[in-house]
Amino acid sequence: MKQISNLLNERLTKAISCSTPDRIPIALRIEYAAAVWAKLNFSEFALNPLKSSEALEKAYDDIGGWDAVDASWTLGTRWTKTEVAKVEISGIDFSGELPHRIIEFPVMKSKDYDVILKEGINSLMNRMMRRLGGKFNEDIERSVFNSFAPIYKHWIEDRGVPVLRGGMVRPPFVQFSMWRTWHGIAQDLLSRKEKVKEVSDAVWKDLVKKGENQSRIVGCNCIFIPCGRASATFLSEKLFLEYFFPHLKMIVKELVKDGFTPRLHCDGDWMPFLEYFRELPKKSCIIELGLETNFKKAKEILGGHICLYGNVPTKLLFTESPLKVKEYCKKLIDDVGHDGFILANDDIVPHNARFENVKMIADTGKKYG
Amino acid sequence: MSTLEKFFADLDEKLSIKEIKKRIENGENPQKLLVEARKGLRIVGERFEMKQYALIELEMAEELFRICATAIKTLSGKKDVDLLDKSDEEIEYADTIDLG
Repeated sequence: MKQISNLLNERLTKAISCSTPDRIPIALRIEYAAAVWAKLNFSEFALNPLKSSEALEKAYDDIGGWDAVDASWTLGTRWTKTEVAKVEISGIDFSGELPHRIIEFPVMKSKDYDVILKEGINSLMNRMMRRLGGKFNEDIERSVFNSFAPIYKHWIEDRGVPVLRGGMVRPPFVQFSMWRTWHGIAQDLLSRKEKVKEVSDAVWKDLVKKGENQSRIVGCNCIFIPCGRASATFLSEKLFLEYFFPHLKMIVKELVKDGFTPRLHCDGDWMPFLEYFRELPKKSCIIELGLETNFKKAKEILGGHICLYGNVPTKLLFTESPLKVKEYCKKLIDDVGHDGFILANDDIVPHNARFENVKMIADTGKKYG
Repeated sequence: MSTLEKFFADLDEKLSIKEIKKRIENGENPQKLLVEARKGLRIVGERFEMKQYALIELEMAEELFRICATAIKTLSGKKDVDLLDKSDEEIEYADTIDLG
């Protein structure tokens, strides 16, 4: 297995270590908007990694570049080939140019917790994928990520642009809530809560290994950790501390120990839980916070500990003028400061975003960052 | 607050069912138990408003009410209890947040 070095540039490395770089790094997260601007149909953007990377590269060049990209080229392929989920792709499963949809469907049964304990996570994923009419095993997963590797290489080595997502680790609670659905996980927290804990304790390290392997294959040391389903929007503090945070902490510590950079994707309201994130390894992670979390207060709590990533509102990108975007970015920079901060849009640039508004984030970041 | 209301409001399935069983065996009116479970449900709503609970607890409360109502109906032999009889396999709804 090849070892990967830190593939982030100095500007990003300084931001992640909560010091002050020469300028605040900018890391736009563009998906289907790139397809619209490049006049590429959404099914091709979703399922043809090379074409989606080319569309993103056109956006990157037209905007005048920025400091790190997200791996938008992996999206549809990953969801259709390696995720146990019902996924609908534009032009294939429904008409109209809209982003792919993930349908919440109870693919995991309550008895499947025992399958994980007896046979491991990959065995359960194979069983569940068969229920959906597909197939999953480690060879398939490896082959999918191998197919992405040349595109990562192009961005990182040919273009010199870091990528902020290699592999992914979903914390056990987040993963089970997706497979079981909200109703299913609510049933489990009532009727088999000890089992949920037991399986979470047993599986988190395997989930880390999976994410690390994915990262090694594509040669990118950033690991995406979706956390939104454990926000204060969805969980009380008691349940957060019982079922989510202990595993997140172990996952992040393990990733950092192994030389990876965890990128915590935290949409939803995290305000009541932010103090806990100071228990994570210092100056080693990125946290993406959505609009429900006050960015200025988040900086007061997490400043000097975790690098903040975000959060120009999605709405500004398709309803307002570029001037409004500029004003928002300037205020955000004033509020957050120049240390430990990556300027970006909140979550994903919407597919109907105005090009000039998105470009304005980068322009403002370069001028005032 | 009655014991059943408390167990329900704390979303404790085991203790709620144990309490229902004990009181039905003692000959209590099942409707009274159902009313108490409903009061517990209301407390869950109040705790949600006070941000002590979040959305998952509302989902858990809905499920616990279904479980309690089923238990009251089954143990008492009464059939005039309105149940929310849904299995997890029937639930399907779209997600709106980034799952990775």
